[in-house]
Amino acid sequence: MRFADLIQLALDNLRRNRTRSLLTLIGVMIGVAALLSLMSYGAGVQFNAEREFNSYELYNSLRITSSPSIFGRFSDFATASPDLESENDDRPSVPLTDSLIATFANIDGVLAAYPEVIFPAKLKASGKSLPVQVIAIPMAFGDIPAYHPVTGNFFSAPTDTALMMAPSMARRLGYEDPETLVGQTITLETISLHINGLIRAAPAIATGLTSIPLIHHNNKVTVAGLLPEDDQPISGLVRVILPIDFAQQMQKITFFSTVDLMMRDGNAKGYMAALVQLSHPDAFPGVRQQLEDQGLFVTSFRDQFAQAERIFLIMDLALGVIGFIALLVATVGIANTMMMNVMERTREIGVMKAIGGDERDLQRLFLVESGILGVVGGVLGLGLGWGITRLVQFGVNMYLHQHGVPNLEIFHIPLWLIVAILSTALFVSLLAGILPARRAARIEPIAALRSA
Amino acid sequence: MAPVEAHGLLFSLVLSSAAWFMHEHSTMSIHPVSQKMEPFIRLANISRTYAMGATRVAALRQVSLTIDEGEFVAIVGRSGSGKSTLLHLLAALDQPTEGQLQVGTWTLGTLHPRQQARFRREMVGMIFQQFNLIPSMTALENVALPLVLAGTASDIRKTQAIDSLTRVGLRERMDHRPTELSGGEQQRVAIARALVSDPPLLLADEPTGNLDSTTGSQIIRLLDSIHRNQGRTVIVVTHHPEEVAAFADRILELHDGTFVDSSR
Ligand SMILES: Nc1ncnc2c1ncn2[C@@H]1O[C@H](COP(=O)(O)OP(=O)(O)OP(=O)(O)O)[C@@H](O)[C@H]1O
Ligand SMILES: [Mg+2]
Repeated sequence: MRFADLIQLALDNLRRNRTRSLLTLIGVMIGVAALLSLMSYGAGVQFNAEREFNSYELYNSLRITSSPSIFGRFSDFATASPDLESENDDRPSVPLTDSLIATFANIDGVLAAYPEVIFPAKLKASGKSLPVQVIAIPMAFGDIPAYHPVTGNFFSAPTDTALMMAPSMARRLGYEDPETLVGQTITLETISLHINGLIRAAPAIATGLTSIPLIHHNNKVTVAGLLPEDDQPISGLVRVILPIDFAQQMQKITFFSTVDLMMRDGNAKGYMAALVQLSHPDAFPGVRQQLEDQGLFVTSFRDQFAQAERIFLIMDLALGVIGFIALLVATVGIANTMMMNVMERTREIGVMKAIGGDERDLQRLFLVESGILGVVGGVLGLGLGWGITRLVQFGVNMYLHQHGVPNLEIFHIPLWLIVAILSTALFVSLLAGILPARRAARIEPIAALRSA
Repeated sequence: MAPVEAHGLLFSLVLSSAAWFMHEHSTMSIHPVSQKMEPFIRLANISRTYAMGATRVAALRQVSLTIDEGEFVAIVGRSGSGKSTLLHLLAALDQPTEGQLQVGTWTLGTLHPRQQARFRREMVGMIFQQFNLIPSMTALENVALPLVLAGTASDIRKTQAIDSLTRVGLRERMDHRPTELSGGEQQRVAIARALVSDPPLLLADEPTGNLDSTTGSQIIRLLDSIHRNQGRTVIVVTHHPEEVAAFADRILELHDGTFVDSSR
C-alpha cells in the first residue's frame, strides 16, 4: 500500500467520525498549547537573563573578595570541591584597599579594576520618588555598548556629580518625554547611620533594634544621559549608574540587608569587594591566578551564570514536565479514540483483510490516523499556544506600559522549541496508536466477517 | 512434379502451419495445455476442527476434492454443514487443522500471514452474502480498494475500477455510496470489486442470500457470464441448488463436514 494512499485513507476515516476526531484534537491542542506556553515562558526567562548578562559583558567581570564569597561557596557546593575554606581558613585575609585595587589594573588583560560600590537610594524628581539601586562604574566602561547613552553623554570624569538611567525610569518619574530630563538636576537620596542617635539607642540594640536612627542625604545630581534599554529591559527598572569616585564619596549605607553584614568578616578592613573587568574573556585564567596568588578570592560572574543556567534548566524541566503531563493526558485521549475506531471498524478491517489487505497495511493505517491526530493537534496547539502567549504578553505589556516600564518579552519561542514540541506530539501520538494498531492488525478476518 | 503431388505438398504445408498456429495459440492462452492436466484446486483429507473448551466441533472432516481451472462449482448443504468454512480455507482466511490444500502454485496452510494476504490479492476475489462494502466509500472507491491495498498507482486504479464497474453494468452509479444503492446493485459493486484485480478464482458465499429471487438469479447469471467470458474458476455457495442448476459444471453437497454426492 502506498504512503499517499495510507494518508488519504486515514484522513477519510478521521473525517467519518468528525466529532470524535475533533474532540480528540482539542485535547491534543490543549496539551500542546500548555507545553508551548510553559516551555516558552522558561525559555523567555533564560533568554532575558542571558541577554542582560551579555549586554553588560558580565562574562568579562570578576568579583574579588578578601574572604570566600557566598557565591563562591555555592559554586563549590555545586562542583563538589569544598577545599577552598579548609585550605585558606588559617590565612589572614588581605584587605581590599584603594591602593591594592589600583594595582589590579596593571595585570595583563584587565580593562578596569574598581571597588564594588552598590547601594540603595531613592530617586526624586517633580514630586515623585523611586527606590533604586545605585551602581558605580569606572570611566573605562565608556567602551561597553550597554553604557553608551542613547541620549546625552557618558560621564566626563569619575568625579562627575552625574548619573545615567534607563528612559523607562525617567518615564516612571513622570517625564513622558525622557529626553527632556537629560541635563537636568534631580535628587538622589541616600541614607547613613546617625552615630549619635545610635549611641542613644544603644541600650535597645541588645534587645533588638526596631528602628534604626538614620540621616537622609539629598544629593543633587545631573542626568548625564539615558541608557539603552532594548537589551537590558529588566535591570533598567532599578538601576542608576554613577561614576565611581562620585559614588564613593557619597554618604551612604552600602549594604542591602543584614545578610550582607552577616556574610562579612567582622575584622575585615577595606572594601567588601572589588570588581575587575577583563578586556577579553580569554584573560580570565591568568588574571584569576595572579589574584589568587595574592590570597584573594575570585568569583567569576560567568561561573555564577553557569550556576544560574543550571537553575534555569531545573525550571525548564519542571515546566516541561507539567506541560508534558497535559500532552500525555491528550495522548491517552488519542489512544481511546483509536481504540474505539478499531472496535467500530472491526467488520471493515475483516473485509479489508479478505480483499488483500495485510497486517502491516492495517497496522500502518491506524498508526497514521493516530499520527495525524498528533500532528494536526500539534500544529493547531502551537497556534493556540502562540495565541495564549501573545494574549498574556499583551496584557502584561499593557500593565507595564501604564507603569512606564518598557515592553518585556516574557515568552521566547525559539525554532527548536517548535520542532521539539511537534516531534513530541507526533511521537506520543504514534505511541498512543501502537496498541490500537496492533489490535487492528490481529483481528481475525473470519470472526470479523461473521460478526453481524 | 506431378500436380497431384504438388497438391499434396501444399495440403501438408497448410496442415502443418495450421498445427503450428494452433500450438502457438494454445501456448499463448492463459491456460496452457500442459497445466490443464493438473487440477487448479486440490484438497486432500482436509479437516477443520474448532476446539470449544472440552468439546470439539468438526466443521470439515477429511474432505478431498479437486477442481479444474475454469470450472463453475456450486456447493450446497444445510446450515452449519461447513460451506463457509470450506470457502474460507480456499481464500486462506482460515487454516485447515489437517490435510493438504493447493490452489494454483500456492500451497496454503503453511503461509505466513503476509503471504496469505498476497495470495488473496493475486488469486482470489471474494463475494459475501452481506455485500460487505465500506459504507463511507463510493462504489468506485470500494471497487478500487483491492488495488489500493495492492499498491497500484491511482490513475491505473481508476481506469481498472471503472472498467470493472462497467462490466457489472454500474458505471453510472460509481459515485454513489452503498446506502444509495439497492441490494442487487450493492452485490454487483461487490462483484466488480472481486474482479478488479483480475484474480483467477472467484469465491461467492451465498451471494443471493440477501436478495429476492429475481435479483438473485440476475446475480447468478452475472457470475455465469463472468465464468464463461473470462474463463475464471467460480465457486458459489448457495442454499438454492435450483438457482445454479442451469449454470454449474458440478454441484457438491456438504453434510456435516463431508461431501455426500458429487452429481454432474
Ligand atoms: N469460530 C468457530 N468456533 C466454533 N465453531 C465454529 C466456528 N466457526 C464455525 N463453527 C462451526 O462450524 C460449523 C460449520 O460452519 P459454517 O459457517 O462453515 O457453516 P455453513 O455451512 O456456512 O452454514 P450457513 O449455511 O448457516 O452459513 C458450524 O457447526 C459452526 O457452528
Ligand atoms: Mg455460511
